[in-house]
This record gives sequence, C-alpha cells and structure tokens, in this order.
Amino acid sequence: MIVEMENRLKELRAERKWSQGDLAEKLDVSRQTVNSIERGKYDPSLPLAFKIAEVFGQPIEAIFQPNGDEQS
Amino acid sequence: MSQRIKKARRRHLIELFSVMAIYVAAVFVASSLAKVLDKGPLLAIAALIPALAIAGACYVSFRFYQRMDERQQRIQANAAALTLTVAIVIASTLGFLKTYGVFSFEDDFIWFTPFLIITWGLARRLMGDDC
Repeated sequence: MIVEMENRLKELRAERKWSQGDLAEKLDVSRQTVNSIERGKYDPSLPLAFKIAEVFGQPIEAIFQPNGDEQS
Repeated sequence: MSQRIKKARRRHLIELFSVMAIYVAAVFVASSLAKVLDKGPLLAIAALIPALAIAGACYVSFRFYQRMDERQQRIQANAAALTLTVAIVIASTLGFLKTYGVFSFEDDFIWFTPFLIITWGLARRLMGDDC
C-alpha cells in the first residue's frame, strides 16, 4: 500500500524566511525537489528525511505525517 | 538548486558536447577509412570507432545520472523503464509484422539508437524531468 505523506516543510521554511532555493542548497538537492516535496508530489527517502529533520532541528515525525494523520 | 547539482549539470553539458564532437569526427574518420579498406579486421575496427564515441556519450550520461539528486534519479530510472517497455513492444510488433509477411522492410539497426534516444527523451518529459 502506498502511503502519501503530509509535511510541514513550507511552514517551517517560512518561519526561517528561507526560499526553496535556500533549503535546496542546505539539503544538496534541486529546488524542484524541494517544491515537489512541499506539494506532496514526492516523498523523500529516509536519509533525505533525516537530513530535513536535522536542518530544521526537529524530529522526523514532527515534519512528516501519513496522509490524514493528525499530529498529537 | 544546490551548487553541486548546478556544477554537475554544467560539467555534463561540456562533457556531452565534447563527446558528441568526438562522435562526429569519429564518423568522418570511419567513413573515410571504409572507402579505402577492404573487408577484414581493419574495416571492422574502423566501423567500431563511432561506437566507441557513443559508449563515451553513454558513460558521460551515466556519470551525470549518478550526480543527480534522488528525485531526479527516480525520474530518469522510470523513464528508462518506460523506454525499455516501448522498445520491446515496438520491436516485437515490427518483428511479427515482418515474420508473417504483412510488411517487408529492411532491418537497419543504425536507426535503433536514435529511436531509443528520442523515446527516452519523451519518456523523461512525461515523467517530469527537470534536469
């Protein structure tokens, strides 16, 4: 079963006033990849998800949730 | 976009143009040699010269693939899978049409490479390629 993920990338990025390009640079990915993750078009791999969590200083589950899950 | 990926793309374009220039020169050399050589090992070697340049182009493309980020790699892999599927279907279809005498045409493998490259390009666009 494919589970689509929701994420708070855009919200966390806006809090830090980072552009998609800024975040892409920090993650060593293309800006289009950041855009695709934010729009829910692409789910990152585990290493990339860990990298995202490290960049934002938050646990992975605080950033990514399965579709329809509410963060407790 | 990360600077590493930007640099990789720039390097890829330079390498690709260089190897394609080598390919054009290789075709010229091979064609010139083919006019003067008799059938035999030397002619076979001359015929392989452009193929070596194509192998170089494939190597350059694969190296760029390895430098892409994970999403771009997934797009390329999906496009390659779709290209293989399309190639299998078309080759099989043409093969059966010829075998059963529906159509009569010459098998010319030289057109297979451009066909694959064009199909791969279309598949990449379909998969959302942004490299």
